[in-house]
Amino acid sequence: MKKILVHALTSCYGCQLQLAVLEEFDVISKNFEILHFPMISSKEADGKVDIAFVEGSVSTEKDLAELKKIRERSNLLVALGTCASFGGVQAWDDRSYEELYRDVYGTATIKFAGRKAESLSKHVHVDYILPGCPPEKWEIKYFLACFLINSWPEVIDYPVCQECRAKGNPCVLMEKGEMCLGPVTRGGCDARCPSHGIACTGCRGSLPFGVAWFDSLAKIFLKNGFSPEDIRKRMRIFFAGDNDLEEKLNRVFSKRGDNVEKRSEDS
Amino acid sequence: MLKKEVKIVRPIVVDHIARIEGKAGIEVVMREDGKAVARVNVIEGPRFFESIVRGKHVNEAVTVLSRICSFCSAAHKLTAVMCAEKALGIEVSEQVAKLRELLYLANHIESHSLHLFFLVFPDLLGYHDVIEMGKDYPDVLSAALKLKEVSARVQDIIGSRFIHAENVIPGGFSKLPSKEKLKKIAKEYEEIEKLAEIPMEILMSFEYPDYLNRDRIHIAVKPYGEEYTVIGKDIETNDNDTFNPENYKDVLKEKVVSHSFAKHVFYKGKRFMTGAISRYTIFKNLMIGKAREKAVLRSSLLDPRNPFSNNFAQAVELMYFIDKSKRLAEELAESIKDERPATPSKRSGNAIVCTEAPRGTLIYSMKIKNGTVVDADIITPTAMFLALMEEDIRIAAEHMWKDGEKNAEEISRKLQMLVRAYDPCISCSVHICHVRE
Repeated sequence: MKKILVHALTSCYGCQLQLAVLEEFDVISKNFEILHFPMISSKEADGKVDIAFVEGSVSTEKDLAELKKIRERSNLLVALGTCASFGGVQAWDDRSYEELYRDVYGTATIKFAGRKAESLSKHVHVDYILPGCPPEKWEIKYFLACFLINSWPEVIDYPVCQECRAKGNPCVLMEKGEMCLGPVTRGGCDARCPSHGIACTGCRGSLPFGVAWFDSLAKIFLKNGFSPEDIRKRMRIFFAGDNDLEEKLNRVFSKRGDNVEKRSEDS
Repeated sequence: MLKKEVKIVRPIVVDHIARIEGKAGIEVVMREDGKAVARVNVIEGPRFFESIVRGKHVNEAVTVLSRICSFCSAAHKLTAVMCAEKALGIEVSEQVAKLRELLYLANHIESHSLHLFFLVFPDLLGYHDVIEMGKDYPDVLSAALKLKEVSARVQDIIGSRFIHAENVIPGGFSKLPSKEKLKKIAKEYEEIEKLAEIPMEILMSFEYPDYLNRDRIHIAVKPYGEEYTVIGKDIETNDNDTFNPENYKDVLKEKVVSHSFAKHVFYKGKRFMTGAISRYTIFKNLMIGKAREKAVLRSSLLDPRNPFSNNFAQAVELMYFIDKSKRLAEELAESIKDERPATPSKRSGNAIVCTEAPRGTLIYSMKIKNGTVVDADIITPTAMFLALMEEDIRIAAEHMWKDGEKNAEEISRKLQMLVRAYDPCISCSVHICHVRE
């Protein structure tokens, strides 16, 4: 029987909740031995695990120490959810930890040391990411099933748009003119939000392998009257952890970008 | 904190309390004179929500605010959206208000079910978790999963998903549920009515430690109409005080404590309780039907002076909210009609609203300028009752010690049960309220 652990760093606990309340939970508990899952169990067992699922972003020194310990005892480490994968909404703001702390706690001191929210991979090697805010149930089951048969999960490399078009939804980006991030966001959610007529906010993280057409999308947004600052804020909600986001956006917002924009309008 | 001459006899440390939402620990130091020092260390990292939504578009801000907590994400989303609407002069239709109530109640049903079955019952029946418990009590486990499944599905249908409902937007809903789906909700709630009685049956055989009996202040939001519910305008207390949430800063004061990323909140300088037991204590006369009838027969288990009553109050609410939701869904299935979300009448404004989240009174305050959030303040139920919970831990530890219980493991097990009765939501509590006015 494969051994697993489920642990949360700073987060909303939603990713673990998705896992804990899967209808197939009895199937999971029959096939995996759970050594540590404090949200639902007071049982604690030491020793190596085959797979560790870790939710949340590294936001305190204690989070970091826990993560390092988990990495040591785990064969595979899966970043569960968008906070663990990319830093999540806690990383939306680009101010420093000290500035945020002052804003919230003033001059009062707290004996635990916090830090700016970051993804797991900024600190340790992560084998797989399972993003989503929260992750989709089917994908959690897919990951578990892959590990169970000693296989590995495939990375989703198509955008939300693909599923959205297949469902025949009216386009939130082109028809409603809203700031929909569907074209650059990792699919797999069956276009949940656009199917409700709501613009995608990118909760599953940006498309991997640099295949996302950030530039084109940002240009459409500019054309639709959104300011560079609006676009930057929207993309940062869930993409703040992307190292090259700023560079890409700056390229679009630079003079050169404006020229390209004008040319396309002229033609 | 400790006087030097007092020798510490036994530290009781629980680094990470299992089976609660979020990361917190208990630290109790027993002293030779029989007194204890108790702290609830909130080690969940700070998340700065009020600070990070500042300067952001209001629609994006409300989307992010639901992420404060997964167990009560609908509570946060709905309260944030209602606050934004009030600030921007948006008046929603009666249909929207009813659908939101149905969604909010589904969040309560889900949260209470998870708390009672997954977090509390393993203690009472003597297991580490619901999986072990399910091997001996398969019917209890299947009831738990069914209750959770139905209430999650309702949130999927109305809110687009059960954690972080994106379909809830300022003005109403982007997409309305169909007549058929609402009928299905009513039917499914009817089917689980019987299962909702199980928690009361399990809790009835459990006795509360009476050394925790003492008078406490309870606060809860007064229901908007004639019937018990989770939405309203003013806040009431069990000593007949009523205050408008607009004045919350005069009544509820926050304090930073060094052992917690969650601030402590005091009501007129005193520790207080909020949650299912507070709602029940203050507004029980507004509750109708079978749940109320059953509750009346068990009033000793709903003693507002004992924190363990909160579990039983959740069990009563679970029954009642399912009954109420069934009636609401039936009514909506008959009357549902297509309509567009209401639009703002202005682009700037301030508002303060309060609602009853599963764990108690939740207050949102927002200042919006030209569609951008310039200031936000959120007070969560857990931050409100943390100070009282800490005091109860101290009292419980002192009593057990006095009664001759010297086994640190046994004391810590019982203290953790006490913490679970409060049903703290640590993720909520560390979203953090900022000091700037």
